[in-house]
Amino acid sequence: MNRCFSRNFSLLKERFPLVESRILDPADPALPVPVPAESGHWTLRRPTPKGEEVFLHSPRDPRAEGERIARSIPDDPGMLVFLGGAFFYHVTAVLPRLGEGVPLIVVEEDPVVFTAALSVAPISPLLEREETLMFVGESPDSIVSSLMTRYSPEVLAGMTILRHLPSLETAPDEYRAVEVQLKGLRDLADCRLNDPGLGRWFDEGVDGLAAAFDEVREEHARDVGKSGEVQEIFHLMQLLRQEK
Amino acid sequence: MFSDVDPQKILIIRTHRLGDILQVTPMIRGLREQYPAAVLSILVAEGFQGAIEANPDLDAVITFPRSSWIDRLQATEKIDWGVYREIRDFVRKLRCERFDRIINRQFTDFEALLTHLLAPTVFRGKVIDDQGHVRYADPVTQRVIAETMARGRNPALKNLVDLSCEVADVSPSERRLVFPVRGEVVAACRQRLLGRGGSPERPLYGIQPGASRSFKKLESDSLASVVDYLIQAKRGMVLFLGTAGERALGEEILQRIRSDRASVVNLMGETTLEELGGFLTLCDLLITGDTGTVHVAAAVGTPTLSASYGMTYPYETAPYGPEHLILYSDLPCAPCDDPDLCRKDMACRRVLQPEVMILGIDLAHALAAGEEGEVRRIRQDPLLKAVRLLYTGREKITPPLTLYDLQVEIPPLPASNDSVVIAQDAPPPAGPSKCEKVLDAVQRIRQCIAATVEEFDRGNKAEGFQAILPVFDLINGIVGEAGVAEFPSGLPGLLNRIGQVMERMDLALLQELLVQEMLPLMDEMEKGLPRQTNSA
Repeated sequence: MNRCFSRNFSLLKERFPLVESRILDPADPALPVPVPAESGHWTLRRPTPKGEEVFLHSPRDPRAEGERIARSIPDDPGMLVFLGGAFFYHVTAVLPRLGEGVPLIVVEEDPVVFTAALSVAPISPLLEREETLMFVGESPDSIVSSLMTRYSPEVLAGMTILRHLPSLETAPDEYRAVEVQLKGLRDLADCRLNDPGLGRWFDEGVDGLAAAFDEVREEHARDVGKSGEVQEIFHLMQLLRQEK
Repeated sequence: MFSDVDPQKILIIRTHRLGDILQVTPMIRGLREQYPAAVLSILVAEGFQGAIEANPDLDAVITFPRSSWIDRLQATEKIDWGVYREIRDFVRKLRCERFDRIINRQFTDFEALLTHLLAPTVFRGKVIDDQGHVRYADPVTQRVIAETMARGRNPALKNLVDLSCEVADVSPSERRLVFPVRGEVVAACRQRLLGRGGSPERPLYGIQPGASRSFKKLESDSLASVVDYLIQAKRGMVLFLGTAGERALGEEILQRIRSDRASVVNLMGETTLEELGGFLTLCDLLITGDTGTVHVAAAVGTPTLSASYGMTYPYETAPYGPEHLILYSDLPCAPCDDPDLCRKDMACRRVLQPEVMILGIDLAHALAAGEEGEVRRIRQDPLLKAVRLLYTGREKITPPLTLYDLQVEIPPLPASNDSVVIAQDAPPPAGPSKCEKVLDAVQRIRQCIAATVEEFDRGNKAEGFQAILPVFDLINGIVGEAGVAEFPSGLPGLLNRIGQVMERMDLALLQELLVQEMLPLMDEMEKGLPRQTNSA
């Protein structure tokens, strides 16, 4: 166990006791070994479901790549969610651009990658922020439930989702499921803000939402105007419910 | 016309209420004649497809479980995700149809939002947009809404059949309700009657005592006396018509009658819609309130006597066709906005006491028999003082439908063919030019605006609203004469806003719109007309 891992592990235990259970034994010889990029920073090769291998970060300069990604985020996001944390270059690069109090959420679906990251990436700048949350190998329902408990609809409606494409290539279905649910959550939060009458549906919690999100597909979500499909159907239901 | 391009797929939305669905059938006929190649579909709630599925002008009848959705949604405070999925699939299915024209003749919000979500190229009627704002898409609907808000007791209101044709901009070659009933169904109905004591020798009267809304139900005491009269004085047979849910009402009336109960056949809940049409075909007269059945009778050509009160306004909803008599409870508060809030214990319904209904039956007979003296005698009966006697006439309707007020005027007997002389070679009389007509309309619009502002200034709100109503027709006339291309582009939007402001009864804003926006547009319109030249 190297020093970097030890420090990261103790910090994590302190901030996110539940994440500890997702961390594998770093001495396990089956774990993939990070490789150095040309710049001297670490990267990692991971297999995809298509049988190919991808570098999670640039084999030339992972840090510069992370800064490029960070520059692409919109100004003043209300909440930032990274799908795919990998070795956190892109996540840490974003920190100077984030306003105070802006929630930063990192979703890493692969505990193997997360365990490897702890050995090479100092994550203290991330964990020092109170507004940082990490989900490792969590189910979409669990992520949504946790976000709903912590944040108001106003915050959730301002969610910006950033996809770390190499991570998404390694586990496309898992990240897709999380993304669909997060977008559904954002739609519903928006719905609640724009139509107080819909609030109680939002308040029903994750059981109802899980069923709704299951039905939402990106290709239908923005069919007409600015409203998502969920919002449209809810509006229709509301009108029928009010009918005498 | 909607636009220069003929539509490929047209959806008509009129989802529920039997009578209202039948009242769009002449419009559907007009659409079929005007767009023979288009696919015509109608959207109706489950349970109402029987009213329309045999309509030869339609290509498809789309149904959805409207009542079931409402029941399930209203049964719980929680979300019914089953309903969510059903509505979602329903909307997706309709979107796949890609209707390029939608005529929404339903005024409920669900259908208005649905119209918007289906995103047709062109639509007519009520729409709710992304922002939840209600919009009325065409000048005719805008005018109807404005008139309804300020309708008071306006006998110039048009029947819904004529309005639907105007909304769709069609003029069917024959304007009558369409409800086909097969010959074998009529024959089977006749057999059923014979099997239950019916006799072809006796006049047959249909009575529909119930109605979809409780305030429209006729009082059972009144009806029992009417049934006794039909059996004893008219030597008739009586059929009770209605749904299974109304059957108890029929039984209640049956318990109250004093004459031979064998002369009554209670068919409530025993007929399909087509069979209802079959039995009505056999009837000499239907007696009812404001029900869908009265329109079925009109469609199959059976004369009716209907009692009209409460929210019902016969000028809008009278059965479309000849030989329909309406007893309209003519109280100062009629037509009312909400009978549930009535502080007079529905006095309008009580006006229609049994003696009045019986006079109505006699009047219907006298009108059918051409007994003018009898008609004059009955109309002077003091019992009818609080009742207006409205009649659709004795001959085929020449649109738009106008109702005769029998206390003022008795319609002429049908003329024989040889009394009509047509001057074959006479040139048509010279009318005003297109330019003159538009100019005249513009002047009259200015006068209406001046009259409206004057009434508002005097504090006469209702009169002010009345004064502005002709503007909608005048502008429609201008569209017809000048063509849309010559129409000031801001006018349709302005009309829409005026309709909305009238709905909100915002007098100050209405005046502002009329004076500061409408008048300048009229000036613009007038300037755009070609100058008249004096020719030698």
